[in-house]
This record gives sequence, C-alpha cells and structure tokens, in this order.
Amino acid sequence: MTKSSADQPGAQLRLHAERTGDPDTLRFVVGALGWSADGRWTADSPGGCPGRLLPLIERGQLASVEIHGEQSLLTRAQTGDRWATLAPACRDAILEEIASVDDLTRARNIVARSTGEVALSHGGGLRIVSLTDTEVQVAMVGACRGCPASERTLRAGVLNDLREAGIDIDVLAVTD
Amino acid sequence: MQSRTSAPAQRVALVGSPNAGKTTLFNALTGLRAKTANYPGVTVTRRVGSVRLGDRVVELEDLPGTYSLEPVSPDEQVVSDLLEGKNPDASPPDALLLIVDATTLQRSLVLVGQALQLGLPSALVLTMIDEVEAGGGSIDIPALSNALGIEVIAAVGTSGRGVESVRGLLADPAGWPRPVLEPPKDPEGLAGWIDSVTGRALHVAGERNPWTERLDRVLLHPVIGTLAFAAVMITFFQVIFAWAAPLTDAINNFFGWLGGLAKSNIPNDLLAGFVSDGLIGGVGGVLGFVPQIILLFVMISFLENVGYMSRVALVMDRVMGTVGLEGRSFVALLSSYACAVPGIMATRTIPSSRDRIATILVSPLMTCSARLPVYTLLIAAFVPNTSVLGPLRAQGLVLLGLYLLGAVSAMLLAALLKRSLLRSDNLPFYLELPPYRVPGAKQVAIQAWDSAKMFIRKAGTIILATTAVLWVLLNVPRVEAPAGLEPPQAAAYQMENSIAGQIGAAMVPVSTPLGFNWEINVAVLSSLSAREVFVSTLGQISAAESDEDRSIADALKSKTRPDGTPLYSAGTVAAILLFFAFALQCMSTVAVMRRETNSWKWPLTAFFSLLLIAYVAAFIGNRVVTMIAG
Repeated sequence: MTKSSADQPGAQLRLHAERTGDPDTLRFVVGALGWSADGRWTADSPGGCPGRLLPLIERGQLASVEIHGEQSLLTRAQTGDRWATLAPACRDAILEEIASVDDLTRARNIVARSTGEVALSHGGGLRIVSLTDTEVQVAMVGACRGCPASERTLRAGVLNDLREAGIDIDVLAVTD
Repeated sequence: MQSRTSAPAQRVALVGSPNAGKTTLFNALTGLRAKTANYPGVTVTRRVGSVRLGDRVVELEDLPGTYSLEPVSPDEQVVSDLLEGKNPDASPPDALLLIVDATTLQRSLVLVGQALQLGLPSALVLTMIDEVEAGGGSIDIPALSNALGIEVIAAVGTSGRGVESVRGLLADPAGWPRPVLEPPKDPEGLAGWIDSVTGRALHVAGERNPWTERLDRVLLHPVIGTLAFAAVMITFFQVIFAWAAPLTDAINNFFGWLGGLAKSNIPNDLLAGFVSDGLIGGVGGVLGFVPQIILLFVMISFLENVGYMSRVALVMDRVMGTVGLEGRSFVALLSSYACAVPGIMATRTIPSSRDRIATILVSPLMTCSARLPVYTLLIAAFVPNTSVLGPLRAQGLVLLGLYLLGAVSAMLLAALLKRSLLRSDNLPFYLELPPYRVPGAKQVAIQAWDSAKMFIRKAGTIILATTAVLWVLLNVPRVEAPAGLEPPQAAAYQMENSIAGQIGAAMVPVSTPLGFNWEINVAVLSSLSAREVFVSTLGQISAAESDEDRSIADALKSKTRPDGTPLYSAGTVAAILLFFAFALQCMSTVAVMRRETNSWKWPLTAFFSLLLIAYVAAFIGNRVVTMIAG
C-alpha cells in the first residue's frame, strides 16, 4: 500500500457504514476518528460537535450525531429523510472533519485512546512529541519511562494506530 | 440472449475471481443444465443455465473469473463491459451473485466493492468457508453482511452446504437489501473501506492447511519441484499407454466387426466401400483413441482440481522468465496441451499484446490431444514395448519425449520471438495458489467429459467431412485394375490411380527426402485439416486394401516399398513424428488465430514457418535415425 499523498489526508482511512436496528440511525465505523472524547450532539445542544457535521444538524437533516468509542460515529436522521443522499453527505463531512485536524493532533488523540490506554493501565504513559512524513517521536512517561520492555510493547501498537488513521510511518524514535 | 418465455426471466450473473468456486456453485444450482455460447463479438465463453424455483425460472449466467472491474485483460473487459451496460448486444443482468473465496476474503473485496458501485441488487456467497474453519479461522457472517449491507450466505458447492439458501435467495433479487452507502470509487478509499469491513467480519484469518504448507515446501522447491514435475509427467505418459491400450483394442475390434458387417450387408459395392472403408475405417479409426483422450483429460483435470497445475505454473514461471514470457503465458500454453484452440483463447488473460501474440504463435507447438492418436498409432506399431528401466517402458518414454520436444521448441521459438519481433517489458504476474484439495470425482468427470466431447464432436464433423471428401478423391476416377490382381491389390491400384493418389504421387519429389511415398503424402496432406485425419486416412486406405479386419497398426507394419523393404522404416516413422510435432495442421487453430489477432498476418506466418520447420526437422530426423538404425 502506498502512502497517501499529502493533499489527500484521510483518503486511506478505514471507513464503512452499517445499518443499525433503528432504520433512522446509521453507524459509521471509522478506523481512527481522532476525537478526544465521546459525545452526543443535537440541534439543542450543539456545543463541541465536530464542525463539519454541524451544518447537517443545523439544516435539520440530522437529528443527532453521536461519537461512541474510538471507532463508532452514529448519525440519526430526521424521520423521513433518505439515506441515499444523506449517507454520502455524512461520509464526506466525516472525511472533511478528519482532514481538517492536523496529523499531529489526530495522531495524539488516536494514540491516547488506544495504545495510550494500555500504557496507562500499566501505570505509565506515552505522548507523541513530533510527527514527520517518515518518523514519529514518542516520549515515555511514568512507569514506561526507562522500562526495558516498554519500547517493544508499545512500538507496534503506536504504529498500528497511526496506520489505521492513514498515517503510514515505519520509524518510531523514543525521546526523553 | 433471447428468452423463450413471454415474460423475461430474471437474469442473475455470477461474478467472482478465478478459482472462487463460481462454476461449482453454478453447476450445483443449475443441475448442469447449462448452455454455452460466445459473447457477441468476442469469443469469451458465456455459460447460461436456468434455476427452477417453483413456477418461476431464474436465468443464471456464469461470467468469466475476474479480479477487478478495471480490466487489464480482454477476458476481464467482457465482464466489466457487460456489467456496466457497455456491451451493445447484451444487456446487463438484473442482479449479481458475488462469489467470494473465504480464504481470500480481503483481496476479493476489491471486486465486491467495485460491483456494489454498479447499483444492481447484489448478494454475496462465501465459498470455501470449510477451509477457513479447517485452518482454525472464523468469519462472522452476520457482521460481514451488516458491514457490506447485503445478504451473505456461506455455501460449499461440492458438499451442497448452503446451496438451498442461495436457491431461496434467488427467488426475489429485487427485494435484496442494498448497501446503505456505496463503497468509495477511488482506490485508496476503497482500500480503507475493505480494511474497515474485514476488521468487523474477520475474527481469525485461519492458518493455511498445514499439508498445503508442507507439500508446497517440496513441490515449489526450484530443484525438487522441477524433478517432481518430471516424475508426474513420466507417470502420466506411462499410464496413457498401459491403461488405454486394452480399451483401444476393444473399440478397434468393434469397428472392425462393424465394418465387416457393413461390407457384407450393403448390396451396392460402392456404397458398402464408402460405409465400411471410408466412414467406419476412417472415423472409427480415430474414435479408437477416445480412451487415450479421456484418460489424458481425466489426469489433466485431476491435477488441476487438486491444485497442482498452479504450482507447476509457478515453478515454470522461472523458466518462462528466461525466455521472456510470463507465468500467464504458461497457463495458456498448458491449456494447449489439451487443444490449441482453448489455449489461444486463454491468452486473453495476458495483458501485454506482444506477449499475447508470442504465446498465440507458439501454442500450436504444444502437443495437443489431436496429435495423440497419430503418436500412439505410430509408437504402438513401431516402438518396441520393452522395459527401459524397471516399470519405465520405451513406448511411454518416446511419447514423453515428443511432448517435451513440443514444449521445448515452443519455449525456444518464444524466446526467439521475444528477442526480435515482439520485444516488450514484463508485466508483474501473480498467481493464485489454492490449497490442495481432494477433487470431487464428479467435477473431474464433468471436466474430462466436456473436453473429450470436443474430440468426439470433431470426429463427427471435420474429420467425418474430410474423410468423406477423401474417399471420393481416392475412388475417382474409377480405373480398371489389370487382370489377375487379388481384390486387395486391385483396391490399392484404384487408390494409387485416383485423384488423391495422383496428387500424392506428384508430391513424391518433395517428400522423398523425408521417406514419404504417395500414400503417406495423401495422409499428411489430408491431415492439414485436422491432425487426426492422418489416422482416418491410413485407416481408410488399409481398410480398403484388406479383407480381414486387422488393426491399422498391423496394416502399416505389413506395408512395403516396391523394393521389398518396409515402407515404415525407422527413418520414415521418425520423420512423420517430427513433422507432426512441428507442423500447424489444424484449420480450427488457424481460424482462431485469425480471430484472436484480428489479421491474417500471424496465422499465415505461423502456418508457413511451422511447415518449413516441420519439413527441415523431419528431413534431419529421417537422416539421423536412418544412420543410427543402419
């Protein structure tokens, strides 16, 4: 797989849509959303809603948007609206949203929510310091710092997280 | 495709990669009620069958296997044109049944994603799920169905598992669930979609069958694998001689008896001669080789279904690389072992047009099944059935040698062409290595029978027609035999002075260096229509010259030249065998070459250059063998 070109961020992103038990609710399964937290937004409480999805709520096409876990984004249509046009609109909005966040922020959010959690459960932590086209620099904190096994256990996890986010990198350097 | 009923039946197309199990499922669903035809304008085979569901009939169409709807080969072009409605003579189907090999789920989803973009009602049949399970893997089918947004059914065509569910599904294609969101069109987006879908559905990918791994370590080894291939081939040709001979004798005895019956019961002498010598002696002589042909195809089909043929293609890809052709060419050349016509059609999978033409030009050199009757007739008659080394017998080895000669000269000619007229870069080639499978006996039998049918049909058409024309040419004009000749000699006199006999005699100056007399000339000339005609012509001549029903082989052995030496000396036999190894004596092949290359230039080049090579090889062979034989 080739690395996605710089002007097309998120092009390689893992994404598909699924029906749910409720015909009005569609689940977008996204490889790496890169949001910092879960949430549910409606026309009445739009605060903190991912910016590109907000217009769909404001125009009355979506009743609500919900981020639930790292991979799941639920959109609930206003009754009567057809997914045929709305689903592609939602997808485009999600892709634009992801593209609008710079890679470093996205990478930090993603890693914090997956591999970072693993590190946390071991009493440690990690933080992405910098990200270039070819290399990611990670700083270990807490129990991870100085732990001889940490680099080996976390390296694969971090690189995999980034790959899911469409950031294809093979070099991980640990800094202080 | 015209529907016979007033209300047009629903047309459902099977779309899938090669080896995904499309055809097995097609057979299981239609119960083999398939009609084959060609797609309008092209010669890619189109298989259509019908599935009865109560009072309704659904028409099922088995499309050629394709990895993608972005075609790289002419074969794939047919599929994508048909599905996208770009074929002016055939409308797109009403619905698609996507056939996916569960062991290659991830890769197969490229085609699935592209097919879903067409917007036709689609459902997915997951085949080979038993192999994923045997390897300890599992696929979450409800999750896959949910992620794709379409119906997914696991089915194993060979055991019938899930086939009823597929049949139930076919009742109402219009009501199938559609994906809620089309997969992305851009390749990178599509790759992301595939990763996302498999992430949901694929629990454990499963190990490959451990036996497959172990066997492949041996069979794909550059040295051991090549030796194993040689061993398989040696066994192959020993078996053809050892097992088919008794059956051939039985068939020949039957036609001998039938010919005698015709001769004694048809009052009109001329008509009796035509039926017993021409038809039964000629066409019957060719049909005597049906056991060999069936055995050949059973073995080819067995090796193919076991999964060995694709290994051979991979081992041979290295060899092919050295002559400048790719593995796909080898696959096409391998089909030419059965018959050059499907072999040439199989070149449609080759993307490079120069490679394709090079492969088409050399495919007539591969030893097709039409040469088998000629080879076995002459070898059985003139090569002693002695043991060379343990169970290896001389006859089988000579036959193997002729097959090797065909393959080696095809490679050499290809190398020559690729270094001169048809130079081009190699395109990447990937080949699927299915796990080794115990083939279903029915599948092998069906494939072998389909191919053997072609041989028998040929006997009933082109061979029958040439035999009939030749009978006339051998019996016109009627000449009065000199008094005192026994009937067999009188018949020989008649034929020697017929139109055919005179043509054969006129060619003697050219054919003497090869050791051919007028009679062999007539047989070789007539075999330009189809190689088996050589056997039917000799059968016809020897049936006319003999009262008792003896085999063609015995008749050939007793022939002498005017000076009393055997007509079929070692040198002459070698010359005939070599001539047949090289010459393009098959009008069907010439016609298909013309059609596939869209010009007369290549078929004519092939015909005349191979004729020249055949003549030179036969001449050298005659000289060398005569010298050795003393």
